[in-house]
Amino acid sequence: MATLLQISKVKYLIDENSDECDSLANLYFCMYCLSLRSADVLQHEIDSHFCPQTLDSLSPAEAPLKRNKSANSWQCPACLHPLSTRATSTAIQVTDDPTKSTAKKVYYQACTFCRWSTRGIGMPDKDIVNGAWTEKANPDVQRVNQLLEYYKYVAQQEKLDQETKRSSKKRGYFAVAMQLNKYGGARLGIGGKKPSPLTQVSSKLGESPSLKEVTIEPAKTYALEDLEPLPEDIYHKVVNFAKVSSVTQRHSHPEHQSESVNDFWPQKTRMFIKQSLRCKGCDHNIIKPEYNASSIKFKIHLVAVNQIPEIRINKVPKLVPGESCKIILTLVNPTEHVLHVTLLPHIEEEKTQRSNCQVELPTSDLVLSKYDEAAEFIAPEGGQAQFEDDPEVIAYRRGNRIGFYLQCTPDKDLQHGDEVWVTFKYKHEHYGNTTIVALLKGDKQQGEPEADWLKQTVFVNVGRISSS
Amino acid sequence: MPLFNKGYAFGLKTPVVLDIGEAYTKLGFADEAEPRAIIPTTIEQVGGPVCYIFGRNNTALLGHDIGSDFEKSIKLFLEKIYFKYLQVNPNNQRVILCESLLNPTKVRETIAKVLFTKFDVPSVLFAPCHLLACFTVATSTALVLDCGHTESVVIPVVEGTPLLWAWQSAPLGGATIQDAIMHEIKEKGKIKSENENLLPVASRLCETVLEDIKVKACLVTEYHRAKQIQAAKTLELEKEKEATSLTDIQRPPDMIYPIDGRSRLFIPGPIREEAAEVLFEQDNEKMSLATLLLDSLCQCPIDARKALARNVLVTGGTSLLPGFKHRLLFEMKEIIKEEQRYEKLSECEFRVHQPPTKANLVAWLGASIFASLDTFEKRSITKEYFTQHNGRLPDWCVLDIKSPDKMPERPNTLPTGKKFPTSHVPSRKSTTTAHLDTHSKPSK
Ligand SMILES: Nc1ncnc2c1ncn2[C@@H]1O[C@H](COP(=O)(O)OP(=O)(O)OP(=O)(O)O)[C@@H](O)[C@H]1O
Ligand SMILES: [Mg+2]
Ligand SMILES: [Zn+2]
Ligand SMILES: [Zn+2]
Repeated sequence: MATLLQISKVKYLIDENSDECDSLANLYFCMYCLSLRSADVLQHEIDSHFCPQTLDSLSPAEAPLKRNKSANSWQCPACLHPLSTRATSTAIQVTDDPTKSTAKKVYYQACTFCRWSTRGIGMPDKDIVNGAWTEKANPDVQRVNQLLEYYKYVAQQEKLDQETKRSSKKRGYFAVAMQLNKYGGARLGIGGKKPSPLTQVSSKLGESPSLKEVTIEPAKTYALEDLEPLPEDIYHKVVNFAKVSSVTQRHSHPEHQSESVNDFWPQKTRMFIKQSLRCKGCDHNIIKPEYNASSIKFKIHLVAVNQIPEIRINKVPKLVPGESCKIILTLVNPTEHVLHVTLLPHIEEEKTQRSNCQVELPTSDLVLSKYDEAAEFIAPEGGQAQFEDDPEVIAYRRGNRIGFYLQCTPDKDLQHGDEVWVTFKYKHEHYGNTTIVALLKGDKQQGEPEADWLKQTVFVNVGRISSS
Repeated sequence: MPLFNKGYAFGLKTPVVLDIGEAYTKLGFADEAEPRAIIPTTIEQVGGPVCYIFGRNNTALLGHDIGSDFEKSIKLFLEKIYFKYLQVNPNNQRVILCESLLNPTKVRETIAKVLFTKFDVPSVLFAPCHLLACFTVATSTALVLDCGHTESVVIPVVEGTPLLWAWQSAPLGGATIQDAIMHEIKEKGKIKSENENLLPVASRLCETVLEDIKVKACLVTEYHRAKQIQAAKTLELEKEKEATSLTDIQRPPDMIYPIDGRSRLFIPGPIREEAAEVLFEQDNEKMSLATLLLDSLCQCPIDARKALARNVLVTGGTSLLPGFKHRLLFEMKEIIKEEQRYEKLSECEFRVHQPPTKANLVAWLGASIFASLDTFEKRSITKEYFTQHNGRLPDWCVLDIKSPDKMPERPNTLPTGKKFPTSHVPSRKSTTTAHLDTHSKPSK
């Protein structure tokens, strides 16, 4: 918890050059490059799509083609809550005997949250549970397809022309649009008094017999007289806010944007994605979700807090400018190895003036015992004695964490209320690499793992000056 | 290696199409008839408020240099677009963005920078939304009005080329209507909470409530009705007590808007038809939507005017208000009759288009069509180009960049783009003149 609460207080330098730093909880650790990585510098990749309702998954190749929509899960057009399918039985008449009727099971969809249902808008019930429902199609799709086809033809034609002539005088930005006039339908006077003649195209056609001619009906335009004025009674009607759709509801169906709630239509649920993160430096995965159980051998989860010994603030006395005081910081070892940590001074360059406090660092190594999942349940003694702690340096020791003293003197010129930042480096062993890599590669060679030494730079906001 | 890291069908051939508006962003893929989603142009941060990236009160945008805060919000927003809505890997697809011509160079360069450096997109193209709109109606000549959230911009497009000298803009849009609603509610509206009496509305209602009222209740009144109301109002002002004159017209009944579970807002009925009047009133400097179109037309070459008038294309979400187009055409017709300065337009016959999509998606659809063509690829700016030119983008008309210190000041006579106080609009004007010279100059 301490990590979460102190998220902006203890910051780790990520990149020496850019001077970027962040809380350990927000960082990742690449075990191949042996360095911290922020989410920014990692490559985010889409791993798989899944439906939040049915948990079906789809590959990234298929999903966009299916509009990222789930196959069998629907959502309420009014409140976007998932719809549930309801079964009910209705009486239907037997064809040959009008007096008899049999019961039949039918299905409809309803929202458990806002009570919207497909029956409410008069959609007929379905005979089967799944697969019978469809989304409302875009009414303009035909015209749009014509446009797409037409413009593709124009662009193609233009390309052919350029190849044959090799000279194009008119090099406007939208060459396609410029050429419109040449090839067909869309002429200056569209929809006006002179409906555009499509005949011109045929004369051009001889030049490129390979292209199939595509024409398009000019778009209709409307004069004032063609437009319907608002109905007279609209001004006297009482507005029922519950019966008109909101902008959000309209926008959730971009192609319809219906104004009346009576025109709502159920919509398929949008899928969610699982992302994997990849180190841009070495191309290895940092985080990889499981696509399904068998496809990935290991779930690699290189979150920095699981790899790097972490600094937390334990106890800070009153901070007075120019007065030396003893603060206690905690150091936590998240790994399953005993770690040796050496604190080092941070020599600041001019440009990165971040610390405003002199520190005296303990010179001796700090030894951290390993993280033990069972530690909580075992009596806290045992094993403590194996470390000979200098009481001048070590404030306390508890399992995989220690508290150590740091002698600091906030700068003299600080004012009441100013934040005090302490900066230092520390060097620690790191074992993760060799074992996991070996494990990943599948070879089982055992032996004493070799440690790398990593160096971290931290900026700690120990509090504010209180002078009096 | 990830199992499926290549979208086989969704490769470079299906570019991502974005229309990042001030209020709403439309996003989807080229070659499709509608966007995959329309989302508010906002970012949400843990514990922080929802922030409109291009909003009126986003401080990151003020001042000359756009800071890293803005870059960060763009990045967060694009992350949302790619991973939540589009759900594709950004490095596979080209990108086309619809942009307003008033979009400052700095903003587009920041967007391009983020797309290239953080998302590794293969190429980016910014295309003017007025020109893209023409693709949806298969015409190369149109008088395009974009009536968006805070601004309305008119640009005539002739033979596939936007005539930049004839652009017109005014700070009229959806937000203006919302301001008008708030103004009225403050004056005449009442709030009633549980167990309490009617109280006047003291503080500003939040924008979502105002927008909701606007979208659900407001409409654009018919021309004659509007004139009657206006006349009645001026009468009312003159002789204060006699408010009787308004009774000739039956006003809309008052409305009750449930604010949350407990309180209700009593809204005077006339707001329904009066709020949107701000778009058509010629109060401030005689500018209304109708005069924007007419002024723009006056600046166009004579021989193109008639064709432009016959091809009015209305886009932008605000034009979805019921009665909008009817009123706009009516208004233009009447103003030409009344005002001397528009006499030269009396021969024009005005006709509006009905694009095959909703008005707020027109620019998006145009981009979707354009990006499906082979030409698109050639026009795009690649990452190499971007890095070679130190993060400068070419203007959309010319492919070579002029030095930034030679930009003339923006003429003061033109209405200032509201959105970005320190916009670099003049750069666009200067760099395009070379191109525009090939066309006939505007005549008086
Ligand atoms: N379906 C709709 N019905 C009614 N009003 C709408 C609808 N969609 C959007 N609007 C309104 O139209 C206004 C503008 O929407 P639009 O999406 O065109 O804005 P934008 O593109 O973000 O703005 P801009 O182009 O100025 O940056 C908004 O204020 C919104 O309230
Ligand atoms: Mg827009
Ligand atoms: Zn619901
Ligand atoms: Zn790495």
